[in-house]
Amino acid sequence: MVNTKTFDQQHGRATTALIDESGQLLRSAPAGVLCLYFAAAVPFTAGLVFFWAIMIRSNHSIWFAAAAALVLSLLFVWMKIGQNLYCCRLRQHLTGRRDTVDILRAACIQTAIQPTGILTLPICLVIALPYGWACAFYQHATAMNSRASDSKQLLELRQHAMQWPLQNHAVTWLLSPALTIVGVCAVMTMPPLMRLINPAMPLALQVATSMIFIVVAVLSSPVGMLMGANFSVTLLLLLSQTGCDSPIASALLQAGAPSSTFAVIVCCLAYLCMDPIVKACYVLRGHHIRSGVTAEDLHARLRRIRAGS
Amino acid sequence: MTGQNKCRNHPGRDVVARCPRCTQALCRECVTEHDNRMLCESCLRTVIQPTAPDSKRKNVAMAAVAAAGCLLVWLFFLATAQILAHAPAAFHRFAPW
Repeated sequence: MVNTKTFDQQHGRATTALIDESGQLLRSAPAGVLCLYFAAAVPFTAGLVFFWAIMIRSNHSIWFAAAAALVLSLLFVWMKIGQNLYCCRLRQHLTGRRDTVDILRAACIQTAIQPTGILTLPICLVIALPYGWACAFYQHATAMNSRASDSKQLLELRQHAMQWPLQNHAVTWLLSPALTIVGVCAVMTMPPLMRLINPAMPLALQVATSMIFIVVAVLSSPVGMLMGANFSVTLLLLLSQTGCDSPIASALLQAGAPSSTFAVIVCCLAYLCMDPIVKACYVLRGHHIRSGVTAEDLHARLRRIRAGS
Repeated sequence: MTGQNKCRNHPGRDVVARCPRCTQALCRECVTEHDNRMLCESCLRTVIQPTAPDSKRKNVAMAAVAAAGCLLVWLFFLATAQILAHAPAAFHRFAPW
């Protein structure tokens, strides 16, 4: 029997085409959509940087840490709700359909699903194999419409996460900010960890292991690490202009070398650049998967033609 | 016998389906497909809109899960704060060699 299915139907659209389409979707969407994203994500990332900078000084009480963690967790929930609304606006722009968004329901669903990701995703990353599917599940959860019933929605999320694994893994590898964060963490923490384990390690071996970690980090997230390198150079140049005595420089540099707060800022900036495109990719992916069943893409095209005529 | 072959709502029209919930005979205009089943209008309404107490219970359950989610995030960040406070200074300085 001849297989009549095209490559697109079997594996989804090519990854580069999907990323290109998501870029076009973002460009054609009203500016307010991207503003909505940044209004949701910037408070959390800024909060995270302050949280990190304060917490690495060990002279704070547990009550202060608890209060700071509470504020940061509320900012996290705010970001997830905002990202869901951003995806809803993108989907509305894509399909031309003006669906009403039940914000309270969306908030409840996102607050119920997304926090599990901060535990599940690192575990999946350690096991390595199911990370792509787990990542797709949470990305589709952010991009989902909160109108259907809960059981159906979870089933649909699972189906969407399992669909077209080749495309999903390629998008995750190229654009996932989580892999960039893991890469930066590995580059930051592994050399001191090895020095702690073996203090008498020769310098040549230290250099070799550090280079291996840097190469692995670059290979695991090429776009993110390139972006991170750009932000690092820019920040170092800015710091060299402000001088090493300023309070910002003292927080970002420790004895002339970049501190972990510096790495957090770089990761946050890379996240803010990459994540809107990742979300747009998953909105499109969901749209393409649903279109195979409901012909949503044809309806959207008809709606556009009717609006144009 | 003609009563069984004609639609409940439109006596002039032939029956094309029988609603599996209320078993009423219906014409083409009175049935609609939902979840691979042909349902009449009233049964469709019952299926789509859950009863009020059910909906209320579900909302309470969802709010409880959402609160548990918030608690989980808070515990995660609290644990992160404690790890950061007690990590050796070498981990906070990028010195690859």
